[in-house]
Amino acid sequence: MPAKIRGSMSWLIIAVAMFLGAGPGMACFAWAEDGLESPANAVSGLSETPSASAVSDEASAASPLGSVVPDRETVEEAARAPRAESGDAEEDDPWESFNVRMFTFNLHLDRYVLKPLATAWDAAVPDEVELGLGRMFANVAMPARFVNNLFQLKFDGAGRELARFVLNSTIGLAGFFDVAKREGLELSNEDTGQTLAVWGADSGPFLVLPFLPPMTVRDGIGFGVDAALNPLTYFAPFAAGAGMKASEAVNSRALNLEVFEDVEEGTLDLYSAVRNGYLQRRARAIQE
Amino acid sequence: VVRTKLTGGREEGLSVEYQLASKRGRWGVVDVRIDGVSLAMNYRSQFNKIIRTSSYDTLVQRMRKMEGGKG
Repeated sequence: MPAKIRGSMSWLIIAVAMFLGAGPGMACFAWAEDGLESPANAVSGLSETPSASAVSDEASAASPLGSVVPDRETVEEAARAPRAESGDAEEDDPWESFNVRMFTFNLHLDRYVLKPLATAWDAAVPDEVELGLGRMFANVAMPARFVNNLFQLKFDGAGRELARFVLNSTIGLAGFFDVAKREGLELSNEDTGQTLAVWGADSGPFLVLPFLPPMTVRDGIGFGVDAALNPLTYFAPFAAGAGMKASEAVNSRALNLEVFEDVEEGTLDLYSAVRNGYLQRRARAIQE
Repeated sequence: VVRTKLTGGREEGLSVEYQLASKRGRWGVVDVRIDGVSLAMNYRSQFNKIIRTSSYDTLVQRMRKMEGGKG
């Protein structure tokens, strides 16, 4: 009996440790991935697209800000009014001041630890290898996607994941190459947070924790479950597993170096930009 | 209101939707959605946060600063 308890205890500890092992990289990568990619590309991309002329026309028309600024009191009042009125009911963030502090912490972690590492890594390693490693990590994380496809009754998605895993793990050399994609078998991004949502769970408040990507309470629970479903969590010895997670973080960050920079330039308030981007993308992922 | 959808760039490709609207016979872009994230909504959220936590003046200042930096 005690042995059994000890066994499950250590499993729990490993799960928690992996959770942390996901590390700063995950956190920052997820900003880039979930929240930020879009505004960045939009802002930087605008100047290149033909339709951009329309945008900049509009912008320049409104450009002398002074001439179009509405009455200050009205605006401030509107912003402070209960959010339901503002039309976008997405922003449930009662812990904002805590979140902002954690967000700032993660941001510094990124700037002084993760980004330098990722920059060095990016310089040393060819892009193709970075992409390949990223695909390998994604390949290993297949069980979570498979299970969540099933729980959402997406049987074709589950079948695709299975087929992808078999193909890519063998012909694709442990996932380094995505051969399945060339056969038209696309990766399906399903996770436990989405499954919970499909089953009717409310997102809960927005939450930022140190070393972790931004999330809502529901998606945080899902994140823990997904980590537990990742074979790296239970097959690799702890140190190796944590090391793998750390390299995953660095590698992902290396793939997003420019993205993140563009984002910082294109935003007025990074925290709310990330929060809004994250919530919008989650809402869409759940709909799909 | 017209919607277009572009795909391109990167490995996975990125969906970009321009939402157009006509105003007094002139067509303009009112929103851009990249991979499902609406820029208009994203900026609105930023504006709200700045106004809520500091002031409207701060927002205008920051916008001016950004505008100057870009130009």
